[in-house]
Amino acid sequence: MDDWLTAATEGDPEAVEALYRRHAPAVFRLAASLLNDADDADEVTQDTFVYALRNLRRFDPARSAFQTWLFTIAISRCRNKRRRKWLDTVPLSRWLRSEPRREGQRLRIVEEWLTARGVRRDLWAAIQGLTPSLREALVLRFVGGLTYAEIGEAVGCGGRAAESRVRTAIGALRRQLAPQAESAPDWLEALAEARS
Amino acid sequence: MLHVAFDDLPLEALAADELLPPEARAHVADCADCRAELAARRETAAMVAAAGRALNRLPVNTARGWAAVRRRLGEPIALRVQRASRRLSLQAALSGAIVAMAFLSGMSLNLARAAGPSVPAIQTPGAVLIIRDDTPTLAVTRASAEFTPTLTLTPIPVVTN
Repeated sequence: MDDWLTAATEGDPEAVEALYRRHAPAVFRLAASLLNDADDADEVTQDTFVYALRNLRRFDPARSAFQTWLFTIAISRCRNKRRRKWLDTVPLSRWLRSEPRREGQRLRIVEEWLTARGVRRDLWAAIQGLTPSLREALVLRFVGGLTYAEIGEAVGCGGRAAESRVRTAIGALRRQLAPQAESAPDWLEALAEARS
Repeated sequence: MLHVAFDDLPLEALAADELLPPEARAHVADCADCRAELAARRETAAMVAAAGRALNRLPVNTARGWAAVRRRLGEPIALRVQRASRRLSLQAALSGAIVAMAFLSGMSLNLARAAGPSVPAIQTPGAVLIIRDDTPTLAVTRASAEFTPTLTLTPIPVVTN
Protein backbone atom coordinates (compact mmCIF):
# COMPACT_ATOMS: atom_id res chain seq x y z
CA MET A 1 0.00 0.00 0.00
CA ASP A 2 1.50 3.36 -0.93
CA ASP A 3 2.34 6.04 1.64
CA TRP A 4 -0.51 8.38 0.68
CA LEU A 5 -3.02 5.58 1.03
CA THR A 6 -1.66 4.55 4.43
CA ALA A 7 -1.69 8.17 5.62
CA ALA A 8 -5.21 8.73 4.24
CA THR A 9 -6.46 5.61 6.02
CA GLU A 10 -5.09 7.09 9.24
CA GLY A 11 -7.06 10.28 8.58
CA ASP A 12 -4.36 12.61 7.23
CA PRO A 13 -6.39 15.30 5.37
CA GLU A 14 -3.50 16.17 3.04
CA ALA A 15 -3.19 12.52 2.01
CA VAL A 16 -6.95 12.26 1.44
CA GLU A 17 -6.83 15.23 -0.93
CA ALA A 18 -3.75 13.82 -2.69
CA LEU A 19 -5.58 10.53 -3.26
CA TYR A 20 -8.54 12.39 -4.75
CA ARG A 21 -6.41 14.52 -7.05
CA ARG A 22 -4.42 11.52 -8.24
CA HIS A 23 -7.35 9.19 -9.00
CA ALA A 24 -10.37 11.45 -9.70
CA PRO A 25 -9.49 12.15 -13.37
CA ALA A 26 -9.41 8.41 -14.17
CA VAL A 27 -12.73 7.85 -12.39
CA PHE A 28 -14.28 10.83 -14.21
CA ARG A 29 -13.08 9.58 -17.62
CA LEU A 30 -14.44 6.13 -16.89
CA ALA A 31 -17.84 7.48 -15.81
CA ALA A 32 -17.98 9.91 -18.74
CA SER A 33 -17.26 7.09 -21.19
CA LEU A 34 -19.97 4.93 -19.64
CA LEU A 35 -22.66 7.59 -19.18
CA ASN A 36 -21.91 10.03 -22.02
CA ASP A 37 -22.97 12.87 -19.75
CA ALA A 38 -20.48 15.13 -18.01
CA ASP A 39 -22.82 16.24 -15.20
CA ASP A 40 -23.65 12.63 -14.37
CA ALA A 41 -19.96 11.71 -14.57
CA ASP A 42 -19.13 14.54 -12.13
CA GLU A 43 -21.79 13.26 -9.76
CA VAL A 44 -20.62 9.65 -10.01
CA THR A 45 -17.01 10.74 -9.38
CA GLN A 46 -18.07 12.61 -6.25
CA ASP A 47 -20.23 9.75 -4.99
CA THR A 48 -17.41 7.28 -5.62
CA PHE A 49 -14.92 9.29 -3.59
CA VAL A 50 -17.30 10.14 -0.79
CA TYR A 51 -17.98 6.43 -0.38
CA ALA A 52 -14.35 5.35 -0.85
CA LEU A 53 -12.87 7.95 1.48
CA ARG A 54 -15.40 7.14 4.20
CA ASN A 55 -14.69 3.43 3.81
CA LEU A 56 -10.94 3.39 3.24
CA ARG A 57 -10.51 0.74 5.92
CA ARG A 58 -12.61 -1.65 3.84
CA PHE A 59 -10.12 -1.51 0.98
CA ASP A 60 -8.05 -4.70 0.88
CA PRO A 61 -4.76 -4.17 -1.01
CA ALA A 62 -4.24 -7.94 -1.16
CA ARG A 63 -7.40 -8.28 -3.25
CA SER A 64 -7.07 -5.49 -5.78
CA ALA A 65 -5.25 -2.30 -6.70
CA PHE A 66 -6.71 0.90 -5.22
CA GLN A 67 -7.76 2.16 -8.66
CA THR A 68 -9.53 -1.13 -9.44
CA TRP A 69 -11.44 -0.77 -6.16
CA LEU A 70 -12.42 2.80 -7.11
CA PHE A 71 -13.51 1.62 -10.56
CA THR A 72 -15.63 -1.11 -8.96
CA ILE A 73 -17.44 1.51 -6.87
CA ALA A 74 -17.77 3.83 -9.87
CA ILE A 75 -19.21 1.06 -12.09
CA SER A 76 -21.86 0.36 -9.47
CA ARG A 77 -22.75 4.08 -9.24
CA CYS A 78 -22.91 4.33 -13.05
CA ARG A 79 -25.34 1.39 -13.17
CA ASN A 80 -27.56 3.06 -10.59
CA LYS A 81 -27.44 6.30 -12.53
CA ARG A 82 -28.42 4.52 -15.75
CA ARG A 83 -31.32 2.80 -14.02
CA ARG A 84 -32.62 6.12 -12.69
CA LYS A 85 -32.36 7.61 -16.16
CA TRP A 86 -35.34 5.47 -17.17
CA LEU A 87 -37.38 7.91 -15.09
CA ASP A 88 -36.05 11.09 -16.56
CA THR A 89 -36.50 14.19 -14.42
CA VAL A 90 -36.24 17.89 -15.17
CA PRO A 91 -35.89 20.43 -12.34
CA LEU A 92 -39.08 22.52 -12.05
CA SER A 93 -37.09 25.77 -12.16
CA ARG A 94 -35.55 24.78 -15.49
CA TRP A 95 -38.90 23.62 -16.87
CA LEU A 96 -40.56 26.92 -15.92
CA ARG A 97 -37.82 28.89 -17.62
CA SER A 98 -38.05 26.51 -20.62
CA GLU A 99 -34.30 26.08 -20.60
CA PRO A 100 -33.02 23.52 -23.09
CA ARG A 101 -31.68 20.25 -21.71
CA ARG A 102 -27.97 20.31 -20.97
CA GLU A 103 -27.58 16.56 -21.22
CA GLY A 104 -24.49 15.47 -23.09
CA GLN A 105 -23.60 19.04 -23.98
CA ARG A 106 -20.24 19.04 -22.31
CA LEU A 107 -19.31 15.68 -23.79
CA ARG A 108 -19.22 17.14 -27.27
CA ILE A 109 -15.92 18.55 -26.00
CA VAL A 110 -14.75 14.95 -25.55
CA GLU A 111 -15.77 14.09 -29.13
CA GLU A 112 -13.92 17.17 -30.41
CA TRP A 113 -10.91 16.24 -28.31
CA LEU A 114 -10.83 12.72 -29.77
CA THR A 115 -11.41 13.90 -33.34
CA ALA A 116 -8.59 16.44 -33.03
CA ARG A 117 -6.32 13.54 -32.08
CA GLY A 118 -7.16 11.53 -35.18
CA VAL A 119 -9.93 9.33 -33.75
CA ARG A 120 -12.89 8.72 -36.08
CA ARG A 121 -15.77 11.04 -35.19
CA ASP A 122 -18.36 8.25 -35.14
CA LEU A 123 -16.36 5.98 -32.81
CA TRP A 124 -17.61 7.65 -29.62
CA ALA A 125 -21.24 7.28 -30.72
CA ALA A 126 -20.61 3.65 -31.70
CA ILE A 127 -19.14 2.91 -28.25
CA GLN A 128 -22.18 4.53 -26.65
CA GLY A 129 -24.37 2.26 -28.80
CA LEU A 130 -22.89 -0.92 -27.27
CA THR A 131 -24.84 -2.78 -24.59
CA PRO A 132 -23.88 -1.64 -21.06
CA SER A 133 -21.96 -4.83 -20.22
CA LEU A 134 -19.89 -4.70 -23.43
CA ARG A 135 -19.26 -0.97 -22.98
CA GLU A 136 -18.12 -1.48 -19.39
CA ALA A 137 -15.62 -4.18 -20.37
CA LEU A 138 -14.31 -2.24 -23.38
CA VAL A 139 -13.91 1.04 -21.47
CA LEU A 140 -12.23 -0.64 -18.49
CA ARG A 141 -9.75 -2.29 -20.88
CA PHE A 142 -8.92 0.61 -23.16
CA VAL A 143 -9.59 3.68 -21.00
CA GLY A 144 -9.03 2.21 -17.54
CA GLY A 145 -6.11 0.05 -18.69
CA LEU A 146 -7.24 -2.87 -16.51
CA THR A 147 -6.26 -6.50 -17.09
CA TYR A 148 -9.03 -8.97 -17.87
CA ALA A 149 -8.84 -10.36 -14.33
CA GLU A 150 -9.25 -6.82 -12.93
CA ILE A 151 -12.15 -6.12 -15.29
CA GLY A 152 -13.79 -9.31 -14.05
CA GLU A 153 -13.30 -8.11 -10.48
CA ALA A 154 -14.77 -4.68 -11.27
CA VAL A 155 -17.85 -5.84 -13.17
CA GLY A 156 -18.50 -9.04 -11.25
CA CYS A 157 -17.63 -11.75 -13.76
CA GLY A 158 -14.63 -13.99 -14.44
CA GLY A 159 -11.53 -12.90 -16.33
CA ARG A 160 -12.38 -15.12 -19.32
CA ALA A 161 -15.89 -13.67 -19.52
CA ALA A 162 -14.37 -10.18 -19.36
CA GLU A 163 -12.05 -10.99 -22.27
CA SER A 164 -14.96 -12.43 -24.22
CA ARG A 165 -16.95 -9.23 -23.67
CA VAL A 166 -14.09 -7.05 -24.91
CA ARG A 167 -13.71 -9.27 -27.99
CA THR A 168 -17.44 -9.16 -28.69
CA ALA A 169 -17.40 -5.38 -28.28
CA ILE A 170 -14.58 -5.04 -30.83
CA GLY A 171 -16.53 -7.29 -33.23
CA ALA A 172 -19.68 -5.20 -32.76
CA LEU A 173 -17.79 -1.95 -33.36
CA ARG A 174 -16.13 -3.41 -36.43
CA ARG A 175 -19.54 -4.35 -37.87
CA GLN A 176 -20.99 -0.97 -37.00
CA LEU A 177 -18.14 1.17 -38.31
CA ALA A 178 -16.69 -0.73 -41.24
CA PRO A 179 -19.79 -1.10 -43.48
CA GLN A 180 -20.01 2.68 -43.76
CA ALA A 181 -16.65 2.77 -45.52
CA GLU A 182 -17.21 -0.36 -47.60
CA SER A 183 -20.82 -0.27 -48.75
CA ALA A 184 -21.77 3.40 -48.71
CA PRO A 185 -20.04 4.25 -52.02
CA ASP A 186 -21.86 1.39 -53.84
CA TRP A 187 -25.16 2.52 -52.38
CA LEU A 188 -24.48 6.13 -53.33
CA GLU A 189 -23.39 5.07 -56.82
CA ALA A 190 -26.63 3.13 -57.32
CA LEU A 191 -28.64 6.16 -56.12
CA ALA A 192 -26.75 8.46 -58.47
CA GLU A 193 -27.35 6.10 -61.40
CA ALA A 194 -31.06 5.87 -60.62
CA ARG A 195 -31.36 9.68 -60.58
CA SER A 196 -29.47 10.25 -63.83
CA MET B 1 -13.86 -24.11 -46.58
CA LEU B 2 -14.23 -23.11 -42.91
CA HIS B 3 -13.49 -19.47 -42.24
CA VAL B 4 -11.76 -18.20 -39.10
CA ALA B 5 -14.14 -17.79 -36.13
CA PHE B 6 -12.95 -14.30 -35.21
CA ASP B 7 -15.38 -14.01 -32.33
CA ASP B 8 -13.58 -16.92 -30.63
CA LEU B 9 -10.01 -15.73 -31.16
CA PRO B 10 -8.16 -14.21 -28.20
CA LEU B 11 -8.00 -10.45 -28.71
CA GLU B 12 -4.22 -10.49 -28.47
CA ALA B 13 -4.10 -12.76 -31.54
CA LEU B 14 -5.18 -9.75 -33.58
CA ALA B 15 -1.94 -7.97 -32.72
CA ALA B 16 0.28 -9.93 -35.14
CA ASP B 17 0.01 -12.84 -37.58
CA GLU B 18 2.49 -14.81 -35.45
CA LEU B 19 0.00 -14.78 -32.56
CA LEU B 20 -2.79 -16.39 -34.61
CA PRO B 21 -3.37 -20.11 -34.00
CA PRO B 22 -1.46 -22.09 -36.73
CA GLU B 23 -4.60 -23.29 -38.57
CA ALA B 24 -6.08 -19.77 -38.59
CA ARG B 25 -2.78 -18.36 -39.86
CA ALA B 26 -2.68 -20.90 -42.70
CA HIS B 27 -6.30 -20.17 -43.62
CA VAL B 28 -5.85 -16.39 -43.59
CA ALA B 29 -2.92 -16.73 -45.98
CA ASP B 30 -5.25 -18.31 -48.59
CA CYS B 31 -8.58 -16.59 -47.90
CA ALA B 32 -9.09 -13.02 -49.03
CA ASP B 33 -12.32 -12.60 -47.02
CA CYS B 34 -10.69 -13.63 -43.75
CA ARG B 35 -7.66 -11.46 -44.52
CA ALA B 36 -9.98 -8.49 -45.00
CA GLU B 37 -11.92 -9.29 -41.81
CA LEU B 38 -8.69 -9.65 -39.83
CA ALA B 39 -7.45 -6.32 -41.15
CA ALA B 40 -10.78 -4.63 -40.28
CA ARG B 41 -10.74 -6.04 -36.73
CA ARG B 42 -7.13 -4.95 -36.24
CA GLU B 43 -8.02 -1.48 -37.43
CA THR B 44 -11.01 -1.31 -35.06
CA ALA B 45 -8.96 -2.50 -32.07
CA ALA B 46 -6.20 -0.01 -32.91
CA MET B 47 -8.78 2.77 -33.23
CA VAL B 48 -10.32 1.97 -29.83
CA ALA B 49 -6.86 1.80 -28.23
CA ALA B 50 -5.97 5.19 -29.76
CA ALA B 51 -9.24 6.65 -28.46
CA GLY B 52 -8.43 5.28 -24.98
CA ARG B 53 -4.98 6.86 -25.05
CA ALA B 54 -6.39 10.19 -26.25
CA LEU B 55 -9.11 10.14 -23.62
CA ASN B 56 -6.53 9.54 -20.91
CA ARG B 57 -4.84 12.80 -21.87
CA LEU B 58 -8.10 14.75 -21.56
CA PRO B 59 -7.52 17.38 -18.84
CA VAL B 60 -9.95 17.09 -15.92
CA ASN B 61 -10.39 19.95 -13.46
CA THR B 62 -10.43 18.36 -10.02
CA ALA B 63 -10.73 21.57 -7.96
CA ARG B 64 -14.54 21.88 -8.12
CA GLY B 65 -15.06 18.17 -7.52
CA TRP B 66 -12.71 18.16 -4.53
CA ALA B 67 -14.54 21.13 -2.98
CA ALA B 68 -17.83 19.23 -3.26
CA VAL B 69 -16.35 15.99 -1.91
CA ARG B 70 -14.71 17.83 1.01
CA ARG B 71 -18.01 19.54 1.82
CA ARG B 72 -19.83 16.18 1.84
CA LEU B 73 -17.09 14.48 3.86
CA GLY B 74 -17.15 17.33 6.35
CA GLU B 75 -20.84 16.98 7.18
CA PRO B 76 -21.25 16.37 10.89
CA ILE B 77 -22.07 12.74 11.64
CA ALA B 78 -25.24 13.79 13.52
CA LEU B 79 -26.61 15.41 10.34
CA ARG B 80 -25.87 12.28 8.29
CA VAL B 81 -27.58 10.09 10.87
CA GLN B 82 -30.57 12.47 10.91
CA ARG B 83 -30.84 12.26 7.09
CA ALA B 84 -30.53 8.48 7.13
CA SER B 85 -33.22 8.18 9.79
CA ARG B 86 -35.53 10.48 7.78
CA ARG B 87 -35.04 8.19 4.78
CA LEU B 88 -35.75 5.16 6.95
CA SER B 89 -38.94 6.77 8.34
CA LEU B 90 -40.20 7.46 4.83
CA GLN B 91 -39.40 3.90 3.76
CA ALA B 92 -41.20 2.54 6.86
CA ALA B 93 -44.27 4.69 6.15
CA LEU B 94 -44.40 3.52 2.52
CA SER B 95 -43.99 -0.12 3.55
CA GLY B 96 -46.80 0.29 6.10
CA ALA B 97 -49.11 1.76 3.46
CA ILE B 98 -48.38 -1.12 1.09
CA VAL B 99 -49.02 -3.71 3.82
CA ALA B 100 -52.33 -1.98 4.75
CA MET B 101 -53.46 -1.96 1.10
CA ALA B 102 -52.59 -5.62 0.72
CA PHE B 103 -54.52 -6.41 3.92
CA LEU B 104 -57.64 -4.48 2.84
CA SER B 105 -57.44 -5.95 -0.63
CA GLY B 106 -57.31 -9.49 0.78
CA MET B 107 -60.20 -8.70 3.10
CA SER B 108 -62.39 -7.42 0.27
CA LEU B 109 -61.78 -10.66 -1.62
CA ASN B 110 -62.82 -12.67 1.44
CA LEU B 111 -65.98 -10.53 1.83
CA ALA B 112 -66.96 -11.17 -1.76
CA ARG B 113 -66.43 -14.87 -1.29
CA ALA B 114 -68.48 -14.80 1.93
CA ALA B 115 -71.32 -13.01 0.11
CA GLY B 116 -71.50 -15.70 -2.53
CA PRO B 117 -68.82 -18.37 -2.58
CA SER B 118 -69.82 -19.65 -5.97
CA VAL B 119 -70.05 -16.21 -7.56
CA PRO B 120 -67.15 -15.34 -9.87
CA ALA B 121 -65.59 -12.05 -8.80
CA ILE B 122 -62.86 -9.71 -10.02
CA GLN B 123 -61.52 -7.65 -7.15
CA THR B 124 -59.31 -4.58 -6.71
CA PRO B 125 -58.41 -2.95 -3.38
CA GLY B 126 -61.47 -0.65 -3.57
CA ALA B 127 -64.13 -2.58 -5.46
CA VAL B 128 -65.25 -6.02 -6.53
CA LEU B 129 -66.94 -6.84 -9.84
CA ILE B 130 -69.28 -9.79 -9.35
CA ILE B 131 -70.78 -11.67 -12.27
CA ARG B 132 -74.18 -13.06 -11.22
CA ASP B 133 -76.79 -14.41 -13.60
CA ASP B 134 -75.16 -12.64 -16.54
CA THR B 135 -75.64 -9.28 -14.79
CA PRO B 136 -72.37 -7.62 -13.84
CA THR B 137 -72.74 -6.06 -10.39
CA LEU B 138 -70.29 -3.64 -8.79
CA ALA B 139 -69.77 -4.31 -5.10
CA VAL B 140 -67.93 -1.63 -3.16
CA THR B 141 -66.42 -2.88 0.06
CA ARG B 142 -65.35 -0.70 2.95
CA ALA B 143 -63.88 -1.50 6.33
CA SER B 144 -64.56 0.56 9.48
CA ALA B 145 -62.09 0.90 12.33
CA GLU B 146 -63.53 -2.25 13.89
CA PHE B 147 -63.29 -3.99 10.52
CA THR B 148 -67.09 -4.20 10.22
CA PRO B 149 -67.72 -4.48 6.51
CA THR B 150 -70.33 -2.54 4.59
CA LEU B 151 -71.35 -4.20 1.36
CA THR B 152 -73.21 -2.24 -1.28
CA LEU B 153 -74.41 -3.96 -4.42
CA THR B 154 -74.95 -1.70 -7.41
CA PRO B 155 -76.24 -3.30 -10.61
CA ILE B 156 -74.45 -2.12 -13.76
CA PRO B 157 -76.66 -1.73 -16.83
CA VAL B 158 -75.58 -4.01 -19.63
CA VAL B 159 -75.77 -2.51 -23.10
CA THR B 160 -76.47 -5.02 -25.86
CA ASN B 161 -76.53 -4.26 -29.56
